[in-house]
Amino acid sequence: MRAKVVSNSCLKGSCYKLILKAPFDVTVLPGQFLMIRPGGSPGSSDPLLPRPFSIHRINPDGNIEVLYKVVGKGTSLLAQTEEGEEIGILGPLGNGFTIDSGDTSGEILIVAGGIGVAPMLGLAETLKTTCPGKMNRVFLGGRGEADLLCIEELKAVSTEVILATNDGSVGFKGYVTEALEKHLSRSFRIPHSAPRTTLYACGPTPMLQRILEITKPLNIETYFSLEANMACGIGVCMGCAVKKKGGGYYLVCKDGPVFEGRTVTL
Amino acid sequence: MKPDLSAKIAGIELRNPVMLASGTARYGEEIAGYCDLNRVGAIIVKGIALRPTPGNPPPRICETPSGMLNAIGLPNIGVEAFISDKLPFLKRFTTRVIVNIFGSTVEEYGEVAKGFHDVEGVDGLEVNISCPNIKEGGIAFGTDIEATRRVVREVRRATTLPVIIKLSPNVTDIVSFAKVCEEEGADGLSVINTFLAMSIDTETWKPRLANITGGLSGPAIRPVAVRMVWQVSKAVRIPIIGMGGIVTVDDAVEFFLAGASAIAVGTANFINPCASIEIIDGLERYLDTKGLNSITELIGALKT
Ligand SMILES: Cc1cc2nc3c(=O)[nH]c(=O)nc-3n(C[C@H](O)[C@H](O)[C@H](O)COP(=O)(O)OP(=O)(O)OC[C@H]3O[C@@H](n4cnc5c(N)ncnc54)[C@H](O)[C@@H]3O)c2cc1C
Ligand SMILES: Cc1cc2nc3c(=O)[nH]c(=O)nc-3n(C[C@H](O)[C@H](O)[C@H](O)COP(=O)(O)O)c2cc1C
Ligand code: FES
Repeated sequence: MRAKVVSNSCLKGSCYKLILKAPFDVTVLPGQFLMIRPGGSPGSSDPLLPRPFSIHRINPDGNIEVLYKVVGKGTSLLAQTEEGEEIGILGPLGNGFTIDSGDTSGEILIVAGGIGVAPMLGLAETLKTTCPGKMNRVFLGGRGEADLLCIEELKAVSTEVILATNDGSVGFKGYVTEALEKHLSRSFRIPHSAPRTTLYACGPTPMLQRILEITKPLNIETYFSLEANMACGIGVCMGCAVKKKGGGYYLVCKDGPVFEGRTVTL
Repeated sequence: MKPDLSAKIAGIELRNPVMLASGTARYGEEIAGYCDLNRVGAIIVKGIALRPTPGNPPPRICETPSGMLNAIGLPNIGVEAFISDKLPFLKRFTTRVIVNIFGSTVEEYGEVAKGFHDVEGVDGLEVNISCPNIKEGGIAFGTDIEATRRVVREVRRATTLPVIIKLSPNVTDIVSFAKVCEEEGADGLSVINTFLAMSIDTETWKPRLANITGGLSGPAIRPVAVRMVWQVSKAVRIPIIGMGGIVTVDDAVEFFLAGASAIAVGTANFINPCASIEIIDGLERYLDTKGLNSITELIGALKT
């Protein structure tokens, strides 16, 4: 599939927002992703493989938004893509976040580290419409203020947005997981009267590992959007393995990218 | 008149000589959503062994200039589960099914081959000899000429199905391996598998694959693959399936000119799951513009 670039602009530091005209029917679940071939002609062989990116959201015009951070060759080329160009994409791929729309009570926690916020805006927007009665708290973490994205957009669709930075430039000073722990120690002070809690997270592996430790004793359902090196994105190369609890592997692209925290070993 | 793409290789009649390479289309189910399997000549499924194996820990793949490394570790569901759970799906298509097999001992190769004897829907076997020989200290069968001979002999004895041996490029003289396969009764050769390779992250000083080394595939290996197809095709009479870095129709034509009777598309399926279909359409156009009636006119037509 080829998709037309509507716009591609720098948001902050090395983070960009790409808007694509959707070449497919836009029934997208939050947490699903696209494979995008960055740059050049379809025949160019460096970079060779497409790169996976979460669908940030479907905007009111029905266009696909992707939020990305420049970390290497592919993302640098993507940053040079200009309005009106066409790029190769495949998607929407993967399972997306599990949302229990029947459950109207309880609390939702969204934890995002750095560019891990990418799939979370679409999720928060969907939760706002499917579970309007629920408390929805977002924890945004980064090294410094420059790493925190989409603050205003998230505020518009959540009960509260809690910021955490390692350098203390804005919000809580420390890891986002420490801010989360502080919140949980309050809401779970009397564990049996704590609200039913579902936690969605995306970010660096150490952050997810810490969340697993914190939530384990608390009976919190966790859903993690995971990353892995990918080649095909559709389950044919078997390159994107993640360890399954109890042995064997899942494929992040096909069985995920969203997994229940307790089912994987990170 | 449309040019004739039909081919017969190792006794297998093909609608066209374009196959999906082993390990790059799994057992067909996922890629069928993107690529019309009824249009490709054959699908060579992901390697199958006697018993299920889980594969390697991640990271299993990484990109390198114009190529990629993989150390997937041959995750496989075993002969029985393949026949009962995966083959019925493939049988719905008119496309030929070639089963890629591997083992860790010579005997195991024979047993896997026997497991497919008389199984409806299997048109041939492709024998991957690039995996380590557990009995002989982990050296790949395919880089040891006597081990290669024993595997081919064992598989040949075990089955009447067409037997295609997939050669390893990690040898000094690939021609001698090709000749041994022909002597032992192989019906065809797949040339080539991936190159043993390695890549290191200079930030962390760690290998970029958990397995440390992996197999290099993609356009980076194409010129070596073309050279090997050409050398082998001059030395043996059995047909060759050429592969290694084929992305476009021009890449495919190179392999036919070098002497391949069919080609397989591997890594390119990851870039574009319809790559094989585009190559098939491209071949028709190529023959047409060259005024040729049949793909056979291209095979080994290199001018020197
Ligand atoms: C399901 C999924 C969804 C994703 N969604 C997003 C998204 O919405 N936005 C986004 O920016 N990225 C996302 N990623 C990560 C993105 O795919 C990689 O950042 C991208 O592939 C890097 O490509 P590159 O060519 O620029 O880097 P490469 O040249 O491949 O790598 C350059 C360097 O960056 C490092 N690197 C590679 N991947 C990452 C990573 N994920 N994080 C940090 N460093 C990395 C490499 O180890 C290497 O050292 C997602 C990944 C997955 C699996
Ligand atoms: C991810 C991946 C998995 C592979 N798995 C197998 C396999 O199971 N058995 C096998 O014989 N070859 C396997 N191969 C090798 C390919 O079939 C092919 O020979 C090789 O990749 C060269 O072709 P290419 O450059 O077009 O990919 C695999 C290759 C890749 C990239
Ligand atoms: S990226 Fe190929 S199987 Fe997941």
